Amino acid sequence: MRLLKRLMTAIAGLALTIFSANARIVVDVNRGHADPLPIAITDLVGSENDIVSGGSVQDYGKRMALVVKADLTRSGLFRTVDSGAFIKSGNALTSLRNPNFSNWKAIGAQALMNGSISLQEDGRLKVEFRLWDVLGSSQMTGLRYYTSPKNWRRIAHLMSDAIYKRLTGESGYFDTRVVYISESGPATAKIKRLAIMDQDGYNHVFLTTGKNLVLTPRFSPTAQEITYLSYHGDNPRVYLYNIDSGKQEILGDFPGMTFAPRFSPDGNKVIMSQAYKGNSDIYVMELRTRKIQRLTKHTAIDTSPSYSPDSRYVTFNSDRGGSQQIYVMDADGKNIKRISFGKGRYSTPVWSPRGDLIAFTRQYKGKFYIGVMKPDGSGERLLSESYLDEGPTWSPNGRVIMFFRQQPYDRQGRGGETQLWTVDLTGYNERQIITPLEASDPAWSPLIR
Amino acid sequence: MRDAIIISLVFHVVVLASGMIAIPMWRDDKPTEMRVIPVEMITVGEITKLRAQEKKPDPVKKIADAKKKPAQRKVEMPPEPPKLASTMPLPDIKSKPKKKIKDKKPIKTAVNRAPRITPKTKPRRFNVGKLAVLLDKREQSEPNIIEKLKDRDFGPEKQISSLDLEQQILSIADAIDKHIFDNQCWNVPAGAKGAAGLRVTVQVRLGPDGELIGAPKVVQSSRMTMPGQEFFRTAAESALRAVRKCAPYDFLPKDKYDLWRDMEIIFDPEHMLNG
Amino acid sequence: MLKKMNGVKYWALIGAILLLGACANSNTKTGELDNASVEPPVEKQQEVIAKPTEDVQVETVMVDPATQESLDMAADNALVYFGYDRYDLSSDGRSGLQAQAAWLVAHADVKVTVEGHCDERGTREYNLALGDRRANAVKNYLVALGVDPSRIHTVSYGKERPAVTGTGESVWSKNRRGYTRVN
Repeated sequence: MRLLKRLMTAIAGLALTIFSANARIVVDVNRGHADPLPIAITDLVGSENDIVSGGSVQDYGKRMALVVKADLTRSGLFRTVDSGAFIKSGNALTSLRNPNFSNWKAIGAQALMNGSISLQEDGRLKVEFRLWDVLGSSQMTGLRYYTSPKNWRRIAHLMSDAIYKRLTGESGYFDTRVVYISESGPATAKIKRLAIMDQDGYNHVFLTTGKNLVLTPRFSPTAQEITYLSYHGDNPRVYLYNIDSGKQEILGDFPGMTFAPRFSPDGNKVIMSQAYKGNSDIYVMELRTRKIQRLTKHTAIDTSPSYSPDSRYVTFNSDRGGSQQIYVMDADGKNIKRISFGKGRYSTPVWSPRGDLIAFTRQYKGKFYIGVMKPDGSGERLLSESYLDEGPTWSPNGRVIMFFRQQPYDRQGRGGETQLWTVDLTGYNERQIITPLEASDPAWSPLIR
Repeated sequence: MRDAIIISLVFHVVVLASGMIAIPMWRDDKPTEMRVIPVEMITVGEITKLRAQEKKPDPVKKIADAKKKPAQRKVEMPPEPPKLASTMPLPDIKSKPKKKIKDKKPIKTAVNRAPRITPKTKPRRFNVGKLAVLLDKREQSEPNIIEKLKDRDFGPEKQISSLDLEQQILSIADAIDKHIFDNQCWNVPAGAKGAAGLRVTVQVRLGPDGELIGAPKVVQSSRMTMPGQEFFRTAAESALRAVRKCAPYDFLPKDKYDLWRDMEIIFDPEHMLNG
Repeated sequence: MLKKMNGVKYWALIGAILLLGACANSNTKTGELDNASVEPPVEKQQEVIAKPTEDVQVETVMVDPATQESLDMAADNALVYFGYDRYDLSSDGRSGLQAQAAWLVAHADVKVTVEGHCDERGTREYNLALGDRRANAVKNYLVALGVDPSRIHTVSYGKERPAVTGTGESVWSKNRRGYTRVN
């Protein structure tokens, strides 16, 4: 009987322990902050005695850290913590694998990137970095790259992408480029040139001379081709430009002006408008066969078409209802539905690469706005506002929108500069992209692979 | 002998089960009977009340705002969905110096912040906690209120004690929530597309000084490494960072250590991302 | 046939008168038009007025031929203006185009390009389409007045080539235009 009692007690005790495992105060936290995550980016450690063209390996390590810092800061999701003189002590190399987390925590860093860079015998650079969870004292990711020194910026962008992805859960957009129209000269006779650059404004190259007026470039999904509008021979037509070869060719043999081109998501087609005898409709051309299909047939202006990422739908701009509004139709031109119903005029719809939103330009009472709405027209949000904001283009992860902004003119007719800007999907973190000259019509490349 | 064990097992299970069912029923019977609140807990309880008051918009201010608005609005934009009602996390409002935001601010704050859940809306959890504490007493080195109350004979007194306990647990939970918010420990994961299913439960064990004992653990931690669950992993990591950043939890009442030694903190970004 | 001839002569006359008016105005306004190439027609024009019945002489006087200056002077600087987001022709616009048509009929070997332009208060691609509408509105009217459509090329410049820069309706209204350019 005593044994039984003991057993009972033991079992009861066990039951109690099991229950007590769940026995907790439960705290519901549903209020948080959306501040940038404090992250420390240290210079990649490298030898100052190994010299590559343009500097020592150590210099490259510092430059790459700067690029990563700039990328992450510009995203608005990170705040780089300056290590200052704090973390200089100790052997750099051992601390690379075994950072002193309490030091980093003390200066408020929650994530830490460190790494090294060295010169290989074959002349390439070996770049290695690790991302650490400072509060959890653990490694989150680590990657190693081998590259020719001239690619150092790309490698830095790839590192930024890896860090961004690991910490936010979604793809980065730093290893991307932007094609746009560079503008110079007086507004009444602007010289416009196709230009391309990294998304941070570096590695800038002009692609055309400015002899012909060029407008609205857009990337193919491979980022190797651009479709754009050129006034070559005073005949505005849609052209293709191959970035590698520099080759340009006219797309199709349309009797009227072709404009507003955009690639299909698979890159096999270009959708565009043709204006013929005063009426603009939407056409799509198969690039391989050059077969042309007409998608809209209406006396209204139908333009600015953009495919959904699954290629099943096309959103476009039309004034068929009396004023400019945004419409969505099936990819074959059927089931045309109006989706914008707010006051003012809506134009330049562009489908997000994630498929969940359509970005647009809206005009209302003398102002221009960049905004987004769901493909069914609901959930409209305006992200930017100015005298003239126009032409949104999405970062490949669908989180940032780039557009151009024109300043008003003063009374003497001066001013009116155009520049590129980015804004986060939240409507915050508006930033200007620095370009050598004035800039308009940006188009963001997909992730370069 | 074997039968006896089985019988006793069944008996215990029945007792436990009936306890689980019965205790909440007592409480629901006379929810207004709560009279005795341990003095040392009032501080935390007061915070709860104070916060509730803070939430109330100042009526005077509200009127002032309402008066201001028509005058301030230069651009007669149609009523747009508030900007902050985003599917994306929102960086600090202060960081964007925009006029139009200013005059909408009061509304936004209200929209953005999840309504406070009042104690009475979550009885189930308290019951579990309450039961747990009751059961946990075996492991407790010194007798607590429950222990003392348990020795008394009268039913009504027990009733009060359970309410009491609930109040204490609630106050502690609210204090921790407030601590995490006030110290900006939780940075909501950025970029999550559909916030649904990103609720993260973290199990935490604290020492008597409020320091973390061992690593906080994510329930469902296996999900963190699954492909395609990057957003959950991000959410989970943000929750772990929050728990660690906010340690030590040394503001908790030392004499109630038994109550807060083990706890679960649930981080739910849904209001932040979709609200 | 006779009627048609009369019509042509009528328009030519109108053109001449308009030309005169344009010169008178221009001379006082800008120094640009004082240059030698513009002067001769003015003197000859006065002869025309002196002998208004001698219709045939009007044509020979207009030797000056097919220059842009000639058309500009003959027809409101070869410009037609449009309302905001509109492409229909106002009565002023129509009378200007009537003058253009007369000039074009009188210079049957000339080809022109009609440019459609917009103000900057619209998005680029929509404005390209709108400019095309405007250019075609001009072309269609000229064709209706007897100009051979094959002589008229249209091109839309959207908002790419404003005539004047500045902010405000007085500026924008000058940029919403159709312009007939002599090739």
